[in-house]
Amino acid sequence: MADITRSGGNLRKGARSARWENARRSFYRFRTNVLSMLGLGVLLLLFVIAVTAPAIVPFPQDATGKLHVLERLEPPSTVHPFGTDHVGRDIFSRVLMGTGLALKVGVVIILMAATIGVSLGAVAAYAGGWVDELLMRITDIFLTVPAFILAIAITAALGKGITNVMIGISLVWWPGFARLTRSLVLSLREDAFVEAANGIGASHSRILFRHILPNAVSPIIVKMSTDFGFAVLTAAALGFIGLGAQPPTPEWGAMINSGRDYFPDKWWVATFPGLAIFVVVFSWNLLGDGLRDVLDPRSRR
Amino acid sequence: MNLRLYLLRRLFLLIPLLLGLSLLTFTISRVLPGDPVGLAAGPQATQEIKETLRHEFGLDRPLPRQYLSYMSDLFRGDWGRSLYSRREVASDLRTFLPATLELTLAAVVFAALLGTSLGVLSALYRNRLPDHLARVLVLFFVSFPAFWLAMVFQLIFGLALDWFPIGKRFDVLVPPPQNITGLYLLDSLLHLDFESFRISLWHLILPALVLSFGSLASITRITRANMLEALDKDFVRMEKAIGLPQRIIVVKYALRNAFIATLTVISLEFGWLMAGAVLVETIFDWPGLGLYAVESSLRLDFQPIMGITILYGIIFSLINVITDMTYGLLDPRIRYG
Amino acid sequence: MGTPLLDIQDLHVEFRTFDGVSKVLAGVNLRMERGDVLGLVGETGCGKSMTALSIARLIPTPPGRISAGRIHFAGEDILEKAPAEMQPFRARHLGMIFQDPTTNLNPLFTIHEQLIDAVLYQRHRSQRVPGKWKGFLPSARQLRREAHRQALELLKTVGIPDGRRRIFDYPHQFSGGMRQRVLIAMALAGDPDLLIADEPTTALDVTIQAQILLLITDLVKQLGLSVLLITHNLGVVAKTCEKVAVMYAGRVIEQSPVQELFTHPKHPYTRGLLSAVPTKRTRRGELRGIPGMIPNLIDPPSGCRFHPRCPKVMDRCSQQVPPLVQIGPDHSTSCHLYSEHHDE
Repeated sequence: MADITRSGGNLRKGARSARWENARRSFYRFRTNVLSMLGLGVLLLLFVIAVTAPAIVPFPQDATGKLHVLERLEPPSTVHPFGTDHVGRDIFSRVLMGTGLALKVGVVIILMAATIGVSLGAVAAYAGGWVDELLMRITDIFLTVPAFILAIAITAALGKGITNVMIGISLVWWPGFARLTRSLVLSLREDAFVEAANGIGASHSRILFRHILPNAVSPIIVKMSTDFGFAVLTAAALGFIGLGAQPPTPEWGAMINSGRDYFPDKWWVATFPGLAIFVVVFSWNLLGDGLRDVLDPRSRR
Repeated sequence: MNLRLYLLRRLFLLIPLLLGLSLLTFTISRVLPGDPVGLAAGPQATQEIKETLRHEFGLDRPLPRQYLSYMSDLFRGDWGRSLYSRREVASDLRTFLPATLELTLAAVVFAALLGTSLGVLSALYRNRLPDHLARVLVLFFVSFPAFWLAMVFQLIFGLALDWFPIGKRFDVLVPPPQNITGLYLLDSLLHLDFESFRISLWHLILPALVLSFGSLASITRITRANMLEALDKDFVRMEKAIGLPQRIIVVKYALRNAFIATLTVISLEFGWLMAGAVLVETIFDWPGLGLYAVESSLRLDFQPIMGITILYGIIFSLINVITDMTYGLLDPRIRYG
Repeated sequence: MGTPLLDIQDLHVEFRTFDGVSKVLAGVNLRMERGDVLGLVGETGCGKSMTALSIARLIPTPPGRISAGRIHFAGEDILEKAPAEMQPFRARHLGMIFQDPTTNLNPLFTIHEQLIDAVLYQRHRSQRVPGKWKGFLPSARQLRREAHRQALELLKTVGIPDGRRRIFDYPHQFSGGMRQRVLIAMALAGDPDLLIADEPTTALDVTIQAQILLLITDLVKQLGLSVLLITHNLGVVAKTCEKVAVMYAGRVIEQSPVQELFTHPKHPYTRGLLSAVPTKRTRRGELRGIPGMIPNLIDPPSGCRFHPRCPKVMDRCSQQVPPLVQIGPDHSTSCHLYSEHHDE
């Protein structure tokens, strides 16, 4: 008798150390992926820029409404590394000041969409029955319209402005998370260890939180990281269409839109904001790729 | 027989889906916070005009009644009117749809070709240099905002190198092919007008290519995964044991197995691409739904926006059904059950 | 005597796994003459399939590799060949069939398509098979017609009735036994010297098993085929084979003519194996197994891999791998009991 309990304790410690070992191995694999490290590095740099921008840019007021119409459309120079836009504002300053906004928008959207989606999906899968049916029908309906178009519709209905953009895109994005979570929970529910926990008499919420969700977390995190890029691009696209942040906020998508009229002669107005978007999305994608390697090694084997 | 029933069932299931879609669009246009009347009336309207419009739109009636009249309008073909052009949304949609369809189809073809090739390459050279290169390349192209990339491509390939025309669907002074389907490539072929075909093709290549980049990542990734799985199958080992050369095994046998699974992803990407067309059309001055959508959203012209949403929903659902059909046709286990 | 058809010497195969290197084959020695029907028996995991795959060089090389040894086929050194050279070699000299007829046929292509390809690439050699576009040329069509005719003949040879109509069916429309026959047809399309059959009947019903084995025996007589039949079922061996080789944990531990193995087994493992199979004469309570478990191949026992379970174990067994010694005409075994006697 005593033996069993003792080995039981050891087993638990063994399981925990196995998970720790796994985590360490994964981290090592992640660290050796050069590109992911590069992505991470760039993102950290961007984060620093976002936070310190008002302090370090040469013309911070250009992002908050100052106009210098006399200096409009000047090409890149030492004073204005990215040139000036159609009302004379320093593009370099505006781009840097817009970093925080872009990052914030992406993060908020993904967090909101994931929160709504994962909760609804988990509930649907676990409750089953008409709840599940109803939620599935709703997600199906949302998914009949391509995301971007629906985002336009919802955001247009809500009104212009960056907050509405974030709400709009989140409302469009949550069904994907719901679907994923639901299938994960459904398949995990069948797994033996859940049956075992049920057999011992664990309560439903305990099963859900202690057993199912930890295993479901990895694919969800992977999806969150993949979708971040799309969220940023979609937000920028909405800004490009004029639905996003209103002037003078230095939102990159809107900046590209204002630069379009002067393209290609005054190419710098539209080019640099676009490059900035690219840098954010690309570095995040590299990072996400590495994360995917780590969290879901099956995908690379 | 098995297949026919399955298809009928799928088509039948479309109905509740489309009904739900109408409910969604209704909710967005009437129920969401925001000012539908203000939107419909335009930013210049006075309170009086708004009241009149409110009554005209039936917004003072109870919601279920509103929904019913909304549905009956949709069915009758009355999808509203644009505030600015005063044209009917339905007829506008009909005019602009073929252009967008053509662009999207071309982009899908490009994406499928490029993505599948890269995916097969990645699978064959798994974890070696071509695999890593393909992966980074694909990530690279997918990280650009499509509208920005469109401008850059326009600049480089259109203006600087002058390889392709920089905009519009057709040469300015030449009449386009006579309208049968609205798809220029198809129409010109049907008329055996090869000059028109060439012109349309040339105008199509650049925007379709730029548009296709957005889908490259997922198609490449899924093809790679499916190819790896197919190459791992027992029958591939058997084909090797028989002495079939590697290229036949890969290109003929394994690829077909992998491709069927890839089809689902490609149909999903169709929706994404059709949406992305909105942006690309703007840059390339392509007279399709995209341009219509952008102009409408810039002015917050609400009826066209909703019309576009419904149309996209319908088309996307149809594409999904068609994909299911194709899937059934391609897999002999389903076809000859 | 002439050159043996198949001569495997001291073959070592390793597999890199997450937990270490698995030494799957640890010095396999096997010999086959032309016309032999040799059964390769052993428990699951003993390496018999691995041996077969090594002959055809179909071991997946990222995790696995042939680390030592020699394989000679009709005088040619298999291991010296470049991977590209193996393809025509397999087409010309080898025919292989595997265990599960369901998964070994491509479900998306008709039997016709797969069989024609087998015929084209084995009999007519790949150089003369036209590519996709040239396939419309009359010469190409002629080639395909010829291949079609040969495919129908093959179907008749393996005993598929109504081949003319059924050849255009898909694999899922055939029964398991039929599918296996088709696979045999594909394997024989190029008139190979050696047919390697890896557990060909394990996945089939008992009645169908008998049919397939009968077919193989017929083909041996008809075509003068040599067969390497891999199985874990001693009954199959008794029925179909003339010679038998027994494998344990990656080595061949005994090889002899079939009758002799059953009447005069030498190796303790063989003895144990036979005593675990009930016969008419087994009395109640007499059935014995072999105590212990199959060894871990990542960290195998030293010396003779059977020594932890052997009733006749000696000190020497854990220190030295027993060499293969002849103890009779055509009868050899790898056991210190006999190498000792041999020394004397």
